[in-house]
Amino acid sequence: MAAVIISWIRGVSRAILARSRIWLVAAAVSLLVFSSSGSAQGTREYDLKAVFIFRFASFVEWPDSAFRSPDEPLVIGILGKDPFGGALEDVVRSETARNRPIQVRRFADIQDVRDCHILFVSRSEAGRVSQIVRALHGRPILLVSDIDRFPAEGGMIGFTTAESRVQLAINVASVRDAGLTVSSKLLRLARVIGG
Amino acid sequence: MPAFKDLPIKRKLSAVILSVCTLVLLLSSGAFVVNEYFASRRELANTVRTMTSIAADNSTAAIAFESRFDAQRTLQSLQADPRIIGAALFDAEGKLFAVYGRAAELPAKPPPLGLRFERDELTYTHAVSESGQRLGTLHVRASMEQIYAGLRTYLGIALGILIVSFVVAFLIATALRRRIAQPIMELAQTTREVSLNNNYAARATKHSDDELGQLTDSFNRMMARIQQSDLEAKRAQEEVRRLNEELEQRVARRTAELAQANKELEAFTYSVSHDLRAPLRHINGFAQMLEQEFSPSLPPEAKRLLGRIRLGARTMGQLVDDLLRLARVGRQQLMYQTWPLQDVVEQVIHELNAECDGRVIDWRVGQLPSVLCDIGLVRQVITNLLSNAVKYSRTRPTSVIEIGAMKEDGEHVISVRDNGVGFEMKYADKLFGVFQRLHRVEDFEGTGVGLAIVQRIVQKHGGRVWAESALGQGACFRFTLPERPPATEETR
Repeated sequence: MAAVIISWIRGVSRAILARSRIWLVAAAVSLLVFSSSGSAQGTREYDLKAVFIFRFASFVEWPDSAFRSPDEPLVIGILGKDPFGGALEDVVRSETARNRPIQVRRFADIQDVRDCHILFVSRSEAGRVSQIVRALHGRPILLVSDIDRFPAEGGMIGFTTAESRVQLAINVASVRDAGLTVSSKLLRLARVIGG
Repeated sequence: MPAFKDLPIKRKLSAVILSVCTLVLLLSSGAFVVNEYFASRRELANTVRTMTSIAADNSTAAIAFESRFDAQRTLQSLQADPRIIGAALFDAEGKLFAVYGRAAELPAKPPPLGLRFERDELTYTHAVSESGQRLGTLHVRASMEQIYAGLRTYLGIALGILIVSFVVAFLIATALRRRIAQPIMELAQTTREVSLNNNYAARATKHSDDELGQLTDSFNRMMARIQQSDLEAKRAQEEVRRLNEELEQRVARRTAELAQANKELEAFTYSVSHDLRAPLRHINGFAQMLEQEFSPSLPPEAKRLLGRIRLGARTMGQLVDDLLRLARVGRQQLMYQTWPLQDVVEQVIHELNAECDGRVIDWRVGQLPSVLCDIGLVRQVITNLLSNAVKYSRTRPTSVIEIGAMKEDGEHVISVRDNGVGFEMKYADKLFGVFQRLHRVEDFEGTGVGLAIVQRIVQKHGGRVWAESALGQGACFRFTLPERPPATEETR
């Protein structure tokens, strides 16, 4: 009987507390959002993009067929002119993704792309996007680029910079066609195209 | 306040019931409170751990891709539990990435992982990682205030229950008291009634068939036995009393009869003596007339016989007088007055000297006291003793008679000593009997009543009389008179 009474009292008091707490929380959240919006400004754009590319490995799942063996490294490829200047290597050095070592490779031409899991398409390839998409269609390679409208043109993840913040746009149809799975948590952050 | 053991049983019962009830309630309440406290803590810890894990899992992408807004939104999901008062999300470098709740109370650096209880708060720090990739740290604080509030409420309720239980226990105790203590109290009341009023007819009422009932039965059986023996004792006592009364009555009756007989005897003696005097006077008178008127014509032998008749008549008259005196002493009331013995003795000596012409008597009178007595009777005693001394010392050329007195144990001891013929001590106790004589009448005249009168008078005064002597050595008579007369006089 005592337990029933206790839980009833607890429920009532919780409801009272919750109502007053909501306003506090809302105020705190709005304050934090505004104060933190400028913190990415100091980071060099491509350093951040390098980190993001590395972290995509955690939020995307590749089909088993994408790897020949369990200990095969996860390969991050750069197609076209490298804008990172070694930042990507710095990020992935001594890191693993999904228990695999990470390799960074550079490809000058779309034809060279082999054994690649994440491919960053440099702005130097801006005019050849649809060609690249077509060439890699159906292969489990996550296509990432900061070329404008890259996802809309059949790419998978596009970086856009707005208000000095790097934002993501994902073409879920392209991702699905490639046999990849993007975590819903990632999708929640990004602007989703297609589907 | 009296010790527990001296309390009445009804109080003891109440105290036992109430204290047991209180103890049980306190223990159970305490156990519930403690259990509730730990259960609440455990539940809070589980909730916080679960919610933190979910929030941490949901904030991986936000940290990974630096979406503070999303991180914020994720942390806000913690508001589902109002006990969570704050949360801080740190990125992989340990920098504060997003907060929820009171920012001031949150640490600036990620604390070590795990669950901690800190005073009024519970903190939980959880790693934020995705696919094995450590991305940051989530720190959550939850208030235990609600637990305490719950416990306080619970304690209040327990107190209420305690009070209600106390009242209920008190009512039960009262009811039980009637069942258990009432018979005991009645029994105690009955025993008090028995011991105070000796009312052995009192019986305790039996209320139940338990030990108390048995006790009551035993008590009543015991009382019945006591009542019976008491009754028997009373009956025996009554019998003894009745016998005593009867005996007393018999004694009184006998005493009265005896007194009556004594009185009759005395009356008889008196009237006989009195009636005898008249014919004696006639005998003496007529003998005298005969002697005087016919003396010349009577032969000498007739004269001699007449003289014998007159002597006999006189002697008998003396005897009758003595007997009358003796009888009067027995009947007479004592008239007490203080009188100097010295004067009385001198008077008696004077009278005796007048009667004994031609005798040489050496009177040696010592210092004599004044005594409280019936002086008429005591004078008779002295007269009798002194005339005896004179009489029995007449064979001596010179009679020596000493009269002395001394005080001993509240008595005056008066002694009369002579140097006369004395008597044998083996006859000493016969001296004071009526008509008891140790010498022949031919040697010493007398009626044999004098010493009897002495004894009668002395005894009537509460004194004693005795004599010491040896044949031919003279005699010493002593009698005592109490300084104060006895409280109750004998009236016989």
